[in-house]
Amino acid sequence: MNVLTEAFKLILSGDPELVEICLTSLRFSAISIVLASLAGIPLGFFLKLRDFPGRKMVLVVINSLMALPTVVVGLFVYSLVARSGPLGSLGLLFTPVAVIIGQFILVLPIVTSMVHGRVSEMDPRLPETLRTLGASGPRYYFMLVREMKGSIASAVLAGFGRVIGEVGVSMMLGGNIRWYTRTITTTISLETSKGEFELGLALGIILMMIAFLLNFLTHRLVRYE
Amino acid sequence: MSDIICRIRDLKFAYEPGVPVLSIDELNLERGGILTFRGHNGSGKTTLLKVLAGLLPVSRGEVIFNDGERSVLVQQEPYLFQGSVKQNLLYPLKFRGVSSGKERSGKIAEVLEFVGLGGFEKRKARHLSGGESKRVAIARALMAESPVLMLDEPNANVDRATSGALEELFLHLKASGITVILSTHDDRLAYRVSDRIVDLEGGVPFQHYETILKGSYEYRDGMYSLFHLQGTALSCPSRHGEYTTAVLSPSDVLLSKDRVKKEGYNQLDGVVEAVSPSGEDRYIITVNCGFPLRASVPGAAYELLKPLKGMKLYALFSPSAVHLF
Repeated sequence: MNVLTEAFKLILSGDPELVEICLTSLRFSAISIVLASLAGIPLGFFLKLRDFPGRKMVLVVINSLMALPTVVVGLFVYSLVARSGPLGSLGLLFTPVAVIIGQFILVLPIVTSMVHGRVSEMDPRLPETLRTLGASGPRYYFMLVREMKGSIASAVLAGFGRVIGEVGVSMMLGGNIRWYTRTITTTISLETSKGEFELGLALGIILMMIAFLLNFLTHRLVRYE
Repeated sequence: MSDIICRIRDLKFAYEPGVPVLSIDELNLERGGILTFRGHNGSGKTTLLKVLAGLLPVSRGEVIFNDGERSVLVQQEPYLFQGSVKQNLLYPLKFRGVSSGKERSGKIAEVLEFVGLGGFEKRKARHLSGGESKRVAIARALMAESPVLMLDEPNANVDRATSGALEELFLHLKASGITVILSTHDDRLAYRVSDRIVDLEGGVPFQHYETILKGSYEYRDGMYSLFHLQGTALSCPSRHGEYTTAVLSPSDVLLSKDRVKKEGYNQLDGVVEAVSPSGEDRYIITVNCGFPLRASVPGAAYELLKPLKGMKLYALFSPSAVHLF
């Protein structure tokens, strides 16, 4: 119980390192989820609204990739950006860029697949209404997204929850470098292995709070749809 | 009035191969007035409206609209966009790339007033009642400034009062020069508002030869009351209510060369206007009694009457054959 008290004290003290670790986590996750949304939302729509040969196969692959283990993504990107890899000359290993690339790959299938699912459940009257009122081209798609913003946002939040809580990619590609690539999850992992539970527990509590917040927001968004 | 806005030729439509939903050899839609497609559920009404609105691709045949004619479909349960009523009404303008300006607000207020929802601008569209939603959808369709407005089952799931208000609105739309196309399975709505009714059964349109008369009803205590037409009055069943329309089935109308003595019956004299076979050894004879009255006569009676255009005939029908709507 003493550890728990210490953990709360740490959170309330506003310890600069703790704050920095949280901000780093949020920054990485936010950038990777924004990038994955920019690619995944149009892709999700495209896979539902346009028919092309091999579409089903693409969907099967994307759905399988949702379960991608974080360490496999870490390993894959590591092999690309390591000194000896094809992108080695860029010197990306153990930088925020490497973490963001890994998280992007991790979460893109999740956002794409969930958006595809939400588009599939779209009210059939929506596209009909848009067309009969004369919407076409980019305006048509803009309206589809606008009308479905709640369910699309909930797909994005689900992806955000996945990246903020993952440890494999951040550890393997970020290297847990203090004041640089150290995130909530890599810190918890490190502190626990050192046998120092206070900071780890404090970060764990913060992570749980973020999870609750995400769930709460998702519920509200879907309810107001 | 008789100018044609859309021609349908050899139209076939099927959602799945081998299960035809629509099969129309020839149908012309005229400008102005109210046209109603009447039929039971599954008769192809909604599909036909969607085909006319260009929402469903035609698998065979042609649907040709006159150049520049656009139609807007208001669905049975309209989909309203998120946001306010005003936002909903602005979208059709945005879709057409109409520039913003002060006229917009004026136009919105005017259209809302027209559908009986004056002052509803700021209301949340998704929080309206069923009848109000329908009217917002009609107002939104009017903002698209389409000369043809189609409404699928407009009075499904609305109460009697709303139904009456919608009826008035349709007549109002017609008076403002918009061509209104309705689909319904409700005889009352069909008879009261339509200028033309096309019945659909199994996706096939067929001609009905009913006589639809507009007039005013005068209730009388007793078995029979009066339905006033221009220049004449028909004896009809006594029923409380507001009626604007009397309908006569052609098979309820008897024709005779001479006046027949039959107590209480409606008897009108007129001249034969048209004669056409209607299949199964029956003929449709249109007699002008101040209004065109259609009678369906069997082959034997046709032989006896030998009706020719311009010939004088008496039309006879019982008061109970006069159906009020």
